Amino acid sequence: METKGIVFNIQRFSIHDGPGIRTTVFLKGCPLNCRWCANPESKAPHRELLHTEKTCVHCGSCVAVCPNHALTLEEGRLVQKREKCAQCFACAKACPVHALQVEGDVCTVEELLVEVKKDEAFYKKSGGGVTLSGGEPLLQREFTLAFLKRLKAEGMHTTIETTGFASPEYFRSILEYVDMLYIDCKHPDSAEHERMTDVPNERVLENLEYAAAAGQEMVVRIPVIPHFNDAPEVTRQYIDLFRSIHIKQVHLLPFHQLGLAKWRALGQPYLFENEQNMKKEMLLPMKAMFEAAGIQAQIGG
Amino acid sequence: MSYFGEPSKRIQKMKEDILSITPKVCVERAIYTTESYQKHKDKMKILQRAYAIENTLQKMTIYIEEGGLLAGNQASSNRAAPIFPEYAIDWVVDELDKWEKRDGDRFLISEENKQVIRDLEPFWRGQTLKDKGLALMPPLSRKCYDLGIIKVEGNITAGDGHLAVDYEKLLRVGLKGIREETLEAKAKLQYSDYNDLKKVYFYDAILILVAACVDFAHRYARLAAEMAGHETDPTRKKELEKLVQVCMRVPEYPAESFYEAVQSVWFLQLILQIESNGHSLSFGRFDQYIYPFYKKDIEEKNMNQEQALELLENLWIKTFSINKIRSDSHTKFSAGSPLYQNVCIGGQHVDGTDAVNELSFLMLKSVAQTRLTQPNLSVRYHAGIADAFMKECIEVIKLGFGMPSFNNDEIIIPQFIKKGVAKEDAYNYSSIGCIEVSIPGKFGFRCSGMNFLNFPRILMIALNQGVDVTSGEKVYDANIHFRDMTSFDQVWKAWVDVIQYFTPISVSLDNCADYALEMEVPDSLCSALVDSCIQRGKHLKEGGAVYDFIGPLQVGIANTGDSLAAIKKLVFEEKRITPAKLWDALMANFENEGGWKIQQMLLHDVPKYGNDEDYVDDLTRDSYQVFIDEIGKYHNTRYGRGPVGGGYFPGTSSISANVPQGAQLCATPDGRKKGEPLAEGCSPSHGVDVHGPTAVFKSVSKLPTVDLNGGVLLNQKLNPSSLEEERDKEKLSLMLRTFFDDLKGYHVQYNVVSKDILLDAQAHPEKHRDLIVRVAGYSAFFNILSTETQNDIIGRTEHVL
Repeated sequence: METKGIVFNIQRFSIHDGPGIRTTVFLKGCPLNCRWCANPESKAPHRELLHTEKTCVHCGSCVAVCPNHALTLEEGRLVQKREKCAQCFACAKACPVHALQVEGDVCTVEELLVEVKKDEAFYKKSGGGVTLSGGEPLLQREFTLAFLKRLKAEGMHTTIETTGFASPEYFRSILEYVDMLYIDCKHPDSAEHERMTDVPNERVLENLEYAAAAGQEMVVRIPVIPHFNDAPEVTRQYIDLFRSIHIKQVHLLPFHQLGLAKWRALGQPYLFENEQNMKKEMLLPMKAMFEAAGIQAQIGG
Repeated sequence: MSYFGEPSKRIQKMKEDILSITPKVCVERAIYTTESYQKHKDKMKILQRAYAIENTLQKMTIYIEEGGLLAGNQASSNRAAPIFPEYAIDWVVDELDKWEKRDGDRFLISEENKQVIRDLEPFWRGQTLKDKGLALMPPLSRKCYDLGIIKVEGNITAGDGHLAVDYEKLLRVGLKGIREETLEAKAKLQYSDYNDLKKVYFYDAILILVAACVDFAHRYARLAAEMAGHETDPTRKKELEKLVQVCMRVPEYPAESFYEAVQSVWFLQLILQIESNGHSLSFGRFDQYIYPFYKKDIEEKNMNQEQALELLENLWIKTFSINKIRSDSHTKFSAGSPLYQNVCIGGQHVDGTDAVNELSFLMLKSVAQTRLTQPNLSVRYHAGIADAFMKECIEVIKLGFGMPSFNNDEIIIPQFIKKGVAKEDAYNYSSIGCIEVSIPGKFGFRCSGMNFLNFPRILMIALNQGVDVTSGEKVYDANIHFRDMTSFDQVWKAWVDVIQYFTPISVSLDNCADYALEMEVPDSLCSALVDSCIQRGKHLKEGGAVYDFIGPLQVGIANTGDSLAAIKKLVFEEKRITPAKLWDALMANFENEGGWKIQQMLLHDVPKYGNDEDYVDDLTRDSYQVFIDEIGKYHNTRYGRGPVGGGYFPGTSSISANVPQGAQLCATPDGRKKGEPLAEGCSPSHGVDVHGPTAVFKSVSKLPTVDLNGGVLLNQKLNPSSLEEERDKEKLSLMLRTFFDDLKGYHVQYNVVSKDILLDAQAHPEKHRDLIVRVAGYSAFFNILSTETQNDIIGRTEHVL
């Protein structure tokens, strides 16, 4: 049977996810549980229902069609009982205003290729290509490898954006098909990493070190999260770590609140509810520390 | 300090002065025109008009602004609009009291001047271009005109324009050369030959006008001399003395310096706009024909770059000083009182090399520093254009006043050659007005801007068995109503039928307008500066130009495609709704039981043009192609009378017509509610293009662009944050290059103003006096637009890079 992937978004004209003009494919499912995640709908490795309260007109069309009574209108608000949901998604089809949406499209490598080839003329002119992101693109192991191979066969430039949390053998097997690697390092300390993402960082660091030693074209990305990894002492830890494994370039990504509405839509509690967007200027001291240590640093992707 | 820096103190002062003006209406031209027409009642129209313009140029108020380096004003004060009674008088009198109260495009007029116009009116009643134009219309055509299905009002009230004359020749031979050429041609006439006899009046009109232009310039020379006599500041005194010399030499003689060249062009640009009530009179390829003068003066150190820059900026303030008043209904179609005086830079030489020069860069800088709505700056893009120049263009775009727009040589030159234009002329094309193109000094009037055909409205007529939904009037016979249709093929046939029915009606309306223009308001001076009018002894409307194609405009391209896709998919493929239910919902404006659900389905469950989805893009293209094929069968009034062509150029540069044409229309199958604006140009409907700018480019590029010589207008709105970083600007440049080189797009222009700023400007207009936005193929001050048009602009999708 042909490998199928679950894609939750295809973003054309991405210009901050690698060289040139690109299309970014967001693959669904992530083994990490980052508390600040901007795409919380991407975590689950299966299709799921998203409800946007702002769009909802509370007409009850969804309630009427649900065979398992997983949806009710209570005091003018739609309430989902996720444990009752059999994922038939009849509700989303019945919703006249698309307030209920199914996240995740199942597709084959060839189907996805048709979509990403639509902007091929722009990639060629600008030295761009396709970026795989997520979720964690390395979670859909077979599909990602097959798709990367296909893209390379088409002569396209490939980039992946990964948490780096993947088995070392698999990670090594895909690098051959990756022109540019964007790999996160969310915290240099494993215990801290695990506290806020539910996974330790040893695998991430092993993969980082391997890629750097193998001469892979790469950038390490640090999502700078308030009260987690934004303190100067953490930066010093990062510097020690990167020097020891010969990392030369980092991107510092300021924390932003774009995920807020999605956490709400998923009906899940969000730890950063009251935080503000981080301004670029706030990262200037951190950038200066990296550069003083001989590591090139850029703010933003 | 901004990228382009600030203009000199002199220019800053002149700009402030002109921006603080509330435009008035000036009655001088109306008085002097009436005087002449009365005095020369017995003469041919062409001579009456020449005398009228001569009389105006002799008697009108003239002035030189404080610090001004250039001479020449259109009316008794800057930005004042003259009245052109020979074009139309009825709306002028009817709307006299309303000008001050308009929502957009306000004008002031004194009670005394109102009375002047009322007193003139009886002489013109029934005698104007508009009266004659309306009287010419066959009954059915008149009905479509009255119902607003096909719009040609501007053509019979405002006259022509939409061309660039041969300024290169003006600078080379001066009006003296034109006079000699005319005398020579006149000397060859055999008065025994009827065809020759007719030419005498045209030649005499040219001679009257040429002399009047020279005298007009000399009036300024005398004024400058007088001012110099009283001037105490020695620097200013010298400037005025210089101006005396310049006005004594040009436009009569060939220009010998950059200063003379600029002044000579300005005199003609001005006088042609006093001659005609038209608009879109364009400068042509200014950076090409002025360049030799610039180069020589810089090399010989006759002037430095700052002086050249100041003259250019003074020219743009002069350009902005021109204003015209349109009827209330016409104003809605071209909101923001645009004069569309286009100036074209860049492009290629005929050997295909890049024509960008130092003057092109300086012009970008001058327009960036003055930041006015005029001139309308267009760049001719081509694959070999220098990156440095593109980068400079993007810096101007970043300023957010909608300029420059880009036209693409890679498609436009082949389009012209396909139509029979000689290669050397095709390579010399120039942008005109908004986004349209023609050959400077060789092409007839109105390469764009003929009738406006409201596509979604006629689609609704087709579905409604020939009855116009807006008025309830039966316009033609069709054998089946949409309610009874059982297949999409029937819908398609209804579309083809309705196009075949209305196209010849639209052509008949153009012919009526052109015939009336030919007989009533021939533009002799303008014709004298276009090849081969003098040679043939024919003015432009008689077929004097080397090339002559006219451009009608089709409005609501995206709405038509989206509507057809919705019908095809939801009604006939998925059968989610019956034709009757859809029709009822449309007629009820989705306010009937369950209507809102139907609207949501139409909005969300069908692919929309602008997202690179073939399903709807193909329908959009195919529905448009039906019209393109049909209009290709027809000719204009110059066919067979001399010019190459004599046919049509379809196009989508619909100015702001999408707003009033939407206002008159019921709900449509694309989910648009009654009265909402249509999509502008070939841009997607508001807010439906959710896959970003590349997807829009792809959708647009699927249109049959090679046949759309009249222009394919695409607006894109960018968030200012998208252009902060150097690398983002480079990516924008590469995106444009892909659209032009690979997808062969025709045009694109940008609005770089955040939605927040627009909303704030709506709430606090006083804080945003200088905010300029791109309306359609032109820019306008946001504050003077009507609320409807403002909302239309705010509604356009904003792309974040």
